[in-house]
Amino acid sequence: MRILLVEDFAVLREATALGLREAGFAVDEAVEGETGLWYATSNDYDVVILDLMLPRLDGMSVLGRLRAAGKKTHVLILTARDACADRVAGLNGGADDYLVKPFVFAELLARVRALVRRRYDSKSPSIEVGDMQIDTTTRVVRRDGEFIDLSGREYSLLEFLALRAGQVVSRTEIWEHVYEFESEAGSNVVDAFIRLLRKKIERPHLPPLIHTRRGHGYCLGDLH
Amino acid sequence: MRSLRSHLLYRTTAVLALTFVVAAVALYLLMRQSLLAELDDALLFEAKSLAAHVEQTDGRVQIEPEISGLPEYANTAHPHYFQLHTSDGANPLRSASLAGSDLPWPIARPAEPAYRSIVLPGQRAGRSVALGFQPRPDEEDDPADWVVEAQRVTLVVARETAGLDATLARLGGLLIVITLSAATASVLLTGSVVRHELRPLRALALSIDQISVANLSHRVRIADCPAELIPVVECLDQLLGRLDQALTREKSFTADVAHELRTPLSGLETTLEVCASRIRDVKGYQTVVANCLGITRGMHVMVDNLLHLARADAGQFALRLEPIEISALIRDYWSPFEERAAERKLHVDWELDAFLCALLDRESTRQIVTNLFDNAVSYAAVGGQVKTSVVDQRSRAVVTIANTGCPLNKAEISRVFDRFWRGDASRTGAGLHCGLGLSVCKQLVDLHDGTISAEVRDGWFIVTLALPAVQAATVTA
Repeated sequence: MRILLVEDFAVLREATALGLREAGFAVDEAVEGETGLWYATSNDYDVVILDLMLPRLDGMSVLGRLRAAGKKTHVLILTARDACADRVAGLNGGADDYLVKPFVFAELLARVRALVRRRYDSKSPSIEVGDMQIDTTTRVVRRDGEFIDLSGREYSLLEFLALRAGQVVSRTEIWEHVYEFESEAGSNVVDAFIRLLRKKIERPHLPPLIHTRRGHGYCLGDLH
Repeated sequence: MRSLRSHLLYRTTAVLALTFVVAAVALYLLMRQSLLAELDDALLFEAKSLAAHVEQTDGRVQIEPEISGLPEYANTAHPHYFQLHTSDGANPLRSASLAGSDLPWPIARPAEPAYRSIVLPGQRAGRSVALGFQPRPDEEDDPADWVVEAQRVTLVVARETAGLDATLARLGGLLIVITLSAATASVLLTGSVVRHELRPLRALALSIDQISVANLSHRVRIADCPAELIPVVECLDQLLGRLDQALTREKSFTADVAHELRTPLSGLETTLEVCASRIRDVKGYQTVVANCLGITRGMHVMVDNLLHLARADAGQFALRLEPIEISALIRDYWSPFEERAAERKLHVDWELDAFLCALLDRESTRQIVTNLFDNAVSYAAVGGQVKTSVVDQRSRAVVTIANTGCPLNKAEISRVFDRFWRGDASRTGAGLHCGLGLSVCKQLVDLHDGTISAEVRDGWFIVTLALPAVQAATVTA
């Protein structure tokens, strides 16, 4: 899942981004409001983590303009402002969640995961596709009861496909939701990872899970 | 406790009661005098009537028996009395009612009718009039016989005053009852009037009572406020306004402090938490330690600044002034910033008057200069300029620290000395410019009897300090 983190305090931004990446998210970072807004409007992020006191363009304005532009991205406000009025203003301003600094990182992670689930209309932290189970909290994948060892990227790709199970997902969508700006561009990268993922999850005695729709993209599980 | 209401009540009642008593006594005395005068008139009339019937026959004085024998002079229940003395000292003539006893007698023979209150036989209270006259001669006598010297006669006529006394007693009783009723009525009436008129005071108390820390923005409100209370209400409102402002300042200061501490704390916590979530290589730990150290240093500066402000606000801050060569001191304080200035490719200029001395507190000066250098290095645009000068200007040591790349306008410049004010919401640098540095500087410079000002000119942000200078000769001496 791809996340945008807009935070001007460098140490906090770097630590948060590192923690999120280690939890399997693709993270783009923005230091100030204008860049943050530009990133958020030009990409389809799963979650935007937004500080309020930002240089050049404050967080509430970023949120307002993002909503005015018709973006439905889930936004989590992460700020030191803890007054009830601030929380109300933030949520009324179009935010989906509000977390006050200082925060426990595990809570931020849990909230971000909850927002991701909400985005894909899923309530449960575990996803089942055919005979495969994916626990999004522990990031454990089993097929027919057998544990499958995946790398971070592979897991992210599988989780994204699983959240959209039964739907055709284009290469561009995969690219936008699984990879960061800094990653090497190109649809070949997506194809290469799909090949790797197939090797790990497909079993000769079991029906195939990842289907290729030529000219459209990929689909996990049977097409709805 | 002194109560306005009871004082008003007691005093008004006392004055009213005294007035009633005086009026009642005066009325009583007036009535008494008028009744006595009426009685006296009746006595005089009776005396004159009697006198008209006193004759002198052959030198003997007598009263015509048809008068002296009138029933009121008989010995009855409430008789009238008379007694007559002649100048020859013959036996006095008495009314039968006296039964031989004497009426109290005037000391001198009265020329005018003389009235007295007397005690009648039988210990009864009475009133008498004494009349001196010359009896007329018997009409039947031959005037030739009038050679007999005419006698001088003194007649005393008296009556009981029991009726008068009873009337006066009734009048007195009536007056006492009236006075008491009036006094009671006045107490009740005054009480109610006082209570009514003091109502605005109670309303004021009630209105004040409803104001608490939570609603200091409310004002004292009284319906139909009397003119006397308007200044009180106005003063109270002004006091509330001042309290409200002070409390709002205090609240926003506390909120700002909490907010400014939260951000670095959050940085520390997240950095350490993420770091601890798995085992890292040495470089990873080194980065985390360096980052955390940077944050704690920044927090240290902030807490120092806060403590400074709090102490100076409480008047607990004492300067230890000594003559200091200011240029050398400023060069010393620059050294910690050299590295950062080089990192940001800043061009640094100096114009220092080497011999200028000022009367300064060393620690405060360090704080002022460090804050200003920190701002200059943090806010100057990368590749920009920082310029520091120390010059002697009419016995003031004028220090100017300026940097390029100032985006602030004139209105914003006027706020730079406000606590927690920042030109931008940004926390450039280590994330620890919380907007206290310049307010601390201002406070410290004020303590030195100096001045500090900030201006923006052609994109330069210029802070100018003027501190009291001392002559070098004084220093060496």
